[in-house]
Amino acid sequence: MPADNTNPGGGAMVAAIAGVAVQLIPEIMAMVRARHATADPNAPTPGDAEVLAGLAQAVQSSIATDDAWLAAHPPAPKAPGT
Amino acid sequence: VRKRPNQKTVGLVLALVALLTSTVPAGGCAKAPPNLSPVGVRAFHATRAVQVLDLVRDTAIAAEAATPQLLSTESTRAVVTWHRAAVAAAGATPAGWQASVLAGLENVERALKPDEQQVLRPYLVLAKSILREVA
Repeated sequence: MPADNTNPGGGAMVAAIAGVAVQLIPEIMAMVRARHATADPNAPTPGDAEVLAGLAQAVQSSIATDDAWLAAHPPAPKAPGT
Repeated sequence: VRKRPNQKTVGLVLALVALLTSTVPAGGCAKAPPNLSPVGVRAFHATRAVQVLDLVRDTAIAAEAATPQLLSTESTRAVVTWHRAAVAAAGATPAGWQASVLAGLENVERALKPDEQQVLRPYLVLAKSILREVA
């Protein structure tokens, strides 16, 4: 059977996408754990205060990540005259 | 002679996508505990939304850092900038933030090149689904 050359670079693309997916495994597992924690009937039920504090914490942490990335990747300065 | 993509790698990608699509929507659409007040319920759903928005942002950042690069730095900046505003709105606004966040997400998606849209598509679909769910 002849080799499939219709998608040159396809292997590299799949490998790169797999690399991205692998980097997301911890986050996916955290979501799975969070879901099962919520579904556990014996788990303590959070009240308003805990939920609001959790939201504030999630927002703060998320924005900190954004700011760190944006600071590390500033827009390229425009060339003079453009 | 170029080798076909490794079947194990393809299997891994498909398994991860399946895992993601089966767990994230379930987590995003989880019922709020019945003891919460309306304010608590909104915060509960906003937290779920922040988690899925983080997933879009984290995917964009990882794709930008990948070799070969799957998302340009410019496009990633657009995603991160949108994400920052979206998360701030979800945290600060008691209700009604979903529509503007969704509109912003659709604008960012339209600005991406077709191959970049393909990289983020599963996460964008999930984010839109969960944003509509918690609206």
